Amino acid sequence: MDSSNVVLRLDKICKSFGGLQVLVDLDMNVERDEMLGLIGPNGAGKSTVFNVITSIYRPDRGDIFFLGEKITGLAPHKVCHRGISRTYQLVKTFLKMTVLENVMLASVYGGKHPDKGTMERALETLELVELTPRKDILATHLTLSNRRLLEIAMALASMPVLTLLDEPMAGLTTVEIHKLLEVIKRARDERKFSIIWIEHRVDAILDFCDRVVVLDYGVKIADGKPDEVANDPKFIEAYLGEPAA
Amino acid sequence: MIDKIYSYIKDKRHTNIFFTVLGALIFAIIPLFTDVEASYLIYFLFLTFIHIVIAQGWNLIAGYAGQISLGQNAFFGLGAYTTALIWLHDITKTGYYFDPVVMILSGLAPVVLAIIIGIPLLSRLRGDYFAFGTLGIGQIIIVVFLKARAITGGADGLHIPSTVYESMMPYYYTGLLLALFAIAVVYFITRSRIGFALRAIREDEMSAASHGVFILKYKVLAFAVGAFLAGIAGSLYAYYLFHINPDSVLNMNWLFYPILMCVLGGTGTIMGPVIGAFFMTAIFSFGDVYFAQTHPIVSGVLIILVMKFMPTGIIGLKDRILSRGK
Ligand SMILES: Nc1ncnc2c1ncn2[C@@H]1O[C@H](COP(=O)(O)OP(=O)(O)OP(=O)(O)O)[C@@H](O)[C@H]1O
Ligand SMILES: [Mg+2]
Repeated sequence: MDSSNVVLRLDKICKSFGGLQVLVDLDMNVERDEMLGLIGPNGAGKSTVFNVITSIYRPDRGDIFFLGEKITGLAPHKVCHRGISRTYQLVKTFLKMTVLENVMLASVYGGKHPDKGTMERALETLELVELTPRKDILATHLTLSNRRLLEIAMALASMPVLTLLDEPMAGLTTVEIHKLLEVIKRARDERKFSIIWIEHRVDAILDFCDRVVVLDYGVKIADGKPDEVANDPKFIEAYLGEPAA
Repeated sequence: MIDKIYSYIKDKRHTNIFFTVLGALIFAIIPLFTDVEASYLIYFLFLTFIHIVIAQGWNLIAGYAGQISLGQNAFFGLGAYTTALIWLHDITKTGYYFDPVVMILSGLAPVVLAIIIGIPLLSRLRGDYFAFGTLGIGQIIIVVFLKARAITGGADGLHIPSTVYESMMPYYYTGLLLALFAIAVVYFITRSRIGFALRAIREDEMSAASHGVFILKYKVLAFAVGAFLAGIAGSLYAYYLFHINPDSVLNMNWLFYPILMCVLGGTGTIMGPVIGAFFMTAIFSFGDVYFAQTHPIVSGVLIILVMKFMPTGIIGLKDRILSRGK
């Protein structure tokens, strides 16, 4: 693998809560402009990976490198300024702010971009997720699906190098999922950035991602192209239980 | 023309400015029609102005940034003591009485304290550390001021020369100016990019941080500005008392009254603390006649009752009544 193409590298990350070992010596890479799927059963440690990358938690051991620099233990806002943005599994938009204010917050504080003004970036990303007509209403009045889109817009407003999406499709209807996938596709066409995408819908991940990593009890059990992973016995075991003896 | 003015005022952003300017003008001319030296009204308004200044400080840190500070009385007292100490020790070689240099320094002393205690207390994600920590600071300061008798005069406190007193006029107008200053400071901060960050922090610190907001910086900033306002209010009150001791300026009422004014008027709104200050100062002025001194527990209970039954304050009542009609 050409290492200059790697934007994010996790090096033997360990994380435990009390006696519970949630991540075990996790090694993982994300390449430039890559869409990486991260899957695994409930409680496998997927969200914890995001929390460790964005410095919500500090890993017990191991290091995180972003664009060649060590970012382990860097304050969360600095991680954002370096170019990593994210969404949360339980949507975290600011409910008492309008849609535009939410995106403005992300573009104002997300890092400096001399070529484009904050307002311009905010409006542009709203357009991207098709929320422009709703820009002046409070986020609390949005549907779950629109709030998810808003959170994605917030993550994109800072012009990230890498964005982390934590189950963006959870709780959405088929039609809404379709729209969300379209938005993500369009965003990837218009801008270049990498994505790590956590999702329970394995089929969508296998369809859409360039590469897939499978976690089970905090251990990486598979890492490769979707079709390779789909045929990996370890993956099948994790998802379908014990293989028939 | 009238229509234009009317629609200008009805724009929500302009309403506040309009009423503030109108109020300022009315209060500026009141002394022309009253017997300033004898009137209770002048004293009442002077006290209200001081309450507005402290309450706006609390409004910024608690109402807008969502960090419940219980240290306003410590900052108020520290401001009062700073004024007395600078004067008595002839430190700045300036005029001392209503001296802007002294008043500003009396605001800055609490700022230094706020930064020193704010950084460790506000870097914890859990808000109760901050609430209890700031409450503890107030108690520590009272003990220190009682014990450091050589500097602070202990329980008896400090006496600054009262012979300079001539009239209530400068108290009234300085109070009015400071109240307007406090309103303006909080207004412009909350409408700037900083206010944006504060609102985000109030709603969800973790999310604000991962969108690039340096939360500690903005929390400490709001805390320090709140401390500054309490400090200059304390300075003005010291000029009025001439006798500064822990009982008079570090009293828990300087903590609870402003909080009560904010929650009653409406926290996190620019006019809430102003309305609350007028309302509560009036009630407590009457109350004092009967109870001599309202016990802090009374105001504590009132705060809880108001927050329970009127969480959005007087300002919020309008919206609540309107939405009930729907
Ligand atoms: N702050 C925390 N304190 C204690 N335990 C935690 C904490 N965060 C996560 N865990 C535990 O770590 C394990 C992994 O959690 P994580 O949220 O990373 O799983 P996940 O793969 O995202 O699961 P899901 O698919 O349900 O979202 C779980 O057992 C969870 O209970
Ligand atoms: Mg999860």
